[in-house]
Amino acid sequence: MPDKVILLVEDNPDDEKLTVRALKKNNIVNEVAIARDGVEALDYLFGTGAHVGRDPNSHPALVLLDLKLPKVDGHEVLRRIRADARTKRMPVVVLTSSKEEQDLITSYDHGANSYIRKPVDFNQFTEAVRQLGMYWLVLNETPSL
Amino acid sequence: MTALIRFMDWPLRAKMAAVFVLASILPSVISTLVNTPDVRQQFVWAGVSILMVLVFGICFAAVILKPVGSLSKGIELIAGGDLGARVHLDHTDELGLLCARFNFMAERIEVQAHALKTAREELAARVQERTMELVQTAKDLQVETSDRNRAQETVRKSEAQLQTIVESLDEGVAVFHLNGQVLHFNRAALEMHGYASLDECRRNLAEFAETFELTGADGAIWPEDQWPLARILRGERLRDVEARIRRVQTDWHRVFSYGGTLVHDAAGHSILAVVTISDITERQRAELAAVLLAAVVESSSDAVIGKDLKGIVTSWNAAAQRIFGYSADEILGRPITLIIPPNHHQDEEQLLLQRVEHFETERLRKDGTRVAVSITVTPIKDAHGEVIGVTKVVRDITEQQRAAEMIRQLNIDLEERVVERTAQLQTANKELEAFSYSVSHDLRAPLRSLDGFSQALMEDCADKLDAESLDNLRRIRSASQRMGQLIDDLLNLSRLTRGELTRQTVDLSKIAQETADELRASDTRREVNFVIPGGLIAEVDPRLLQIVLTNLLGNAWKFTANRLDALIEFGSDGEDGSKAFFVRDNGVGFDMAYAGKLFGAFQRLHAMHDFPGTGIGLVTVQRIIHRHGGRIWAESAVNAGATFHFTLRTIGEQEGTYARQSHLIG
Repeated sequence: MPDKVILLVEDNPDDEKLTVRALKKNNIVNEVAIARDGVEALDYLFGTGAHVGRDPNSHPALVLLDLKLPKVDGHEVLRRIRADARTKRMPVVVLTSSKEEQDLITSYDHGANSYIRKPVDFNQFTEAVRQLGMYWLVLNETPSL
Repeated sequence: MTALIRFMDWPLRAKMAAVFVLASILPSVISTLVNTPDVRQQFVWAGVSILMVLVFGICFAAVILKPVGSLSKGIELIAGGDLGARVHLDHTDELGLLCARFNFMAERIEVQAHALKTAREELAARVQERTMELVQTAKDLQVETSDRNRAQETVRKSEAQLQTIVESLDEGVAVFHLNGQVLHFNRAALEMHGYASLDECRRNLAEFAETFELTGADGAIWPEDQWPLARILRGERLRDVEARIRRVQTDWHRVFSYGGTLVHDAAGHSILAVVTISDITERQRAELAAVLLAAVVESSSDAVIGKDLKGIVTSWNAAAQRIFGYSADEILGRPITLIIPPNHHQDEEQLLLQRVEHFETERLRKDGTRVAVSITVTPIKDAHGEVIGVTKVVRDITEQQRAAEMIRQLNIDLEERVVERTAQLQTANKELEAFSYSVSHDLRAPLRSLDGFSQALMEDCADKLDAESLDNLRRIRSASQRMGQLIDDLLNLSRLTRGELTRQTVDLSKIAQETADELRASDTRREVNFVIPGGLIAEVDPRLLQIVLTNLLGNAWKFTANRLDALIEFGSDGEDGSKAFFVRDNGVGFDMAYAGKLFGAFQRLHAMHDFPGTGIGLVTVQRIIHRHGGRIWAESAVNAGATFHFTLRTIGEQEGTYARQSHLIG
């Protein structure tokens, strides 16, 4: 599904670049939309703010969501995604540095589909990205709406 | 003979005549009878003679008969008791003389009769007198006899009374022979010594000394010669000699007061020894209690004040003087209101009515200042239970109130500070959590960048970089990854101090076996002999013990890497009666000189090159063991392997107290 967009919500430009690199290394060629804070992510998803005009019904195939974000954090973004009928079934993978138990619990409570901790070792990270791309973009089926 | 008797009956006159005749003829008759042989003749003669005599007699009768008759009459009178009768004849012949003689004789008779009469009268009087005396004496004797009987009766009665009295005395009376033999113990004396009768009683001093022990006030045991009886027998007079008497080899003991003396008879010889005994145990106890009580009252730091129902002070101790300033002399007999502020006078009356027992109020000192006091009121009752007054124990609570106020203020301050500190702590905790989050999240991000971009560089510019540059990039990546591991380990360590410790029955053997299997799987090339007996059970937190065994067995695995005959054991041994576990290996071991560094964070005893690690594992283990109330220690020598011992609870610790300790450590 190369036409499907991956929304990467990441405030750290290094991580953004590494994530994009890892996707490319794994031949995941989907368009990657970047949101650098929670507000931007929500604007993108719901066609508001800077993204006014974007069709809110055109969903990204996958949201890679960091938790620690400026303005509105990842938990709140996830909660809002699940709270909205248009986005409530959207696959959201939490991709974060945190391995705090509380972050895991909150993420799953808010309906995260996966929780992946970014390893320091880039090779491991690349492998993780490969697997999640394979799973969510290739293997997994999602309802059209 | 008949003729003679008839002659005696003749009247005096005839008799005289006959006698006269006979007297005149008798000689001739006799001479005739002798010289005449013819009896007839003789009778004739006799008749003639008689006739002659009769004639002659009648003649003389006229001449002689009259004076004789007077005389005879005189004699008759005298014979009839008329001793004054006399014969008066004017004859001067023999008859006259006869009369004179007769009168003289009568005179004498009268005198003598009179004397006789007088003598008889005197005799009668004396007899009378003596008789009277005898009667009196008899009476006296009777009285005396009766008195004596009465006296004897009295003595008997008095003796019986005395006996009764002695027996009914509450004081013991013991009577001894001078040789010390017991003569009598009265009822009280027997009872005091625990005897039912005199038969049971000891017989003498020596026997008493075998049964009893006497101790003086100084606590010294008296030898036999110091016993009261011994002293009395030596002549001492005893009074109020107090001794503690104890029945040998028993708990029985009393306190007796002895008295006594020798008893003497009228002559002053001593005959008996009497010992009096009073049981003063209770009295002494009471006295002691009273003395103690008095001492307590006097030495009390509280004022003890007595007052009667009219409010007059009846007792006043030293503390009362100290608190109120009045001496006992100044206040005894005066009204209690002296020390009661006017605005509390009514309270005082109410107290008696409402039977308040304890209250706090204020009182007046002599100098007019007021003192805060707490008062305890106790009624004083007489022997009949009638309330006759009140005792007040008054405590000066000025200091107490000041202290209480200070404590209250301190508590307020403390509470404020606690609230403040709690807030600070909560803030600190939040900061710490935020810090942990930062560490977990933010510190790793740059590391990922370092690692990721180094990798990117190695991939993208592999052809442009020489071998050394590529090695440098590898080092950067390695350092980044190690720092990432350090951060993870640190976070794990800090996480151990949080969260509840959940104890349950855990099969440590199973955990150890699983860990061993994982280790074997991690490097299939190694040949390691694991010795793990089954059934090692402990009440622990399974998650935390998993970490402990993973670390210890992992260490053992790591430090036996150079050995071909690696042996790793997990087991338990007794240590001071409590169960201790151990993990033993035959690896490189360590120098015990550095054992103190084993459990310090980031402390490593081996070169990273030889044995990689962050130095956080044993710190983690130790913290978990401590949280379980146990301890951990190690034994080792270089190249001789290492043994790590650990217990999971303090020796002798009960489950109940464990939680508290765990809480303290945690």
